[in-house]
Amino acid sequence: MSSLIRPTDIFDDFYRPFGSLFSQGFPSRLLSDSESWLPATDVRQEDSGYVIEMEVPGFTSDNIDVEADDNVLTITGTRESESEERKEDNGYLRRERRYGKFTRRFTLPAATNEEEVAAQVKDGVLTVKIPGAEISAPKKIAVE
Amino acid sequence: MAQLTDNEREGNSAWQWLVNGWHSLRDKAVSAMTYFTPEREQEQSAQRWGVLATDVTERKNRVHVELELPGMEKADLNVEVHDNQLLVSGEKRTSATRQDGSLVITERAFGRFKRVIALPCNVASDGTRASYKDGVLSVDLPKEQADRARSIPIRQA
Repeated sequence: MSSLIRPTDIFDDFYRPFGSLFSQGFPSRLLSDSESWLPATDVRQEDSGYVIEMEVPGFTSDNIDVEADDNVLTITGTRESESEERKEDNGYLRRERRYGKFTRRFTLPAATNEEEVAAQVKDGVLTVKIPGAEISAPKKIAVE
Repeated sequence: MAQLTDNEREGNSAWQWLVNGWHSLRDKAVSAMTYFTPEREQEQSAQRWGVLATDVTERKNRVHVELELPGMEKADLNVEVHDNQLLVSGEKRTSATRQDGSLVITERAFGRFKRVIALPCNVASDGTRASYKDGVLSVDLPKEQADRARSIPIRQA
């Protein structure tokens, strides 16, 4: 159980737009650029621990933050439209990229040494290595 | 009775919100949804559909396109211009280490992909510049000069 990494806030993020459905209006809330989003992520379990790979195109180490605290790994990124020019709607024919902030959390195995968590961004992919996470062998439960 | 009508009206407008919201969300996302065809064994376990988010900006003499393509090799990217269309294709490969260990969460898409982006006018393919940085492909396309507005005279019947 404790050796399983899982996103803790997927459903929070999913339901957040619906929470204020009636007060704010559905379309504007769900489609606004400041709404948080979840970047596509792969999590792999290796002999040496866990590897998280998150797609963060356009982000660099300057605007991405990785924090391990109390067995929770929090990845936050903030991106504003690059220039004033971009903020104006004029000239935009298509706008699919997300701007603003994203936060994604993962539960770390209890045995994680938080000091050893290492993160790197390259070509828009954030790689977080969580070494030393003890992979406990599945416990066999006898059926009586 | 009046109460019921109010509730009904509120229900209807809430439903309308949902419908409108869903439609604009779908319109916005549907063209960015891109199918990835697996080419190798280790790509089989990946997602088939990925979001290839694109911004297109029009300026006076040029059109600027930015596509999100994280984790690509420059050599695996293909950019072509056909009149008023930009074609971006390529293969997004999994890293060599992906086979080590087992996947717990799989959301990323890998494989061959292709996306055609409609441009507002014809562009000069010679002057087109493309660069790839931090997982974002930027393409700068100069508008074709010959693309003058032609006025079509309306003849008297």
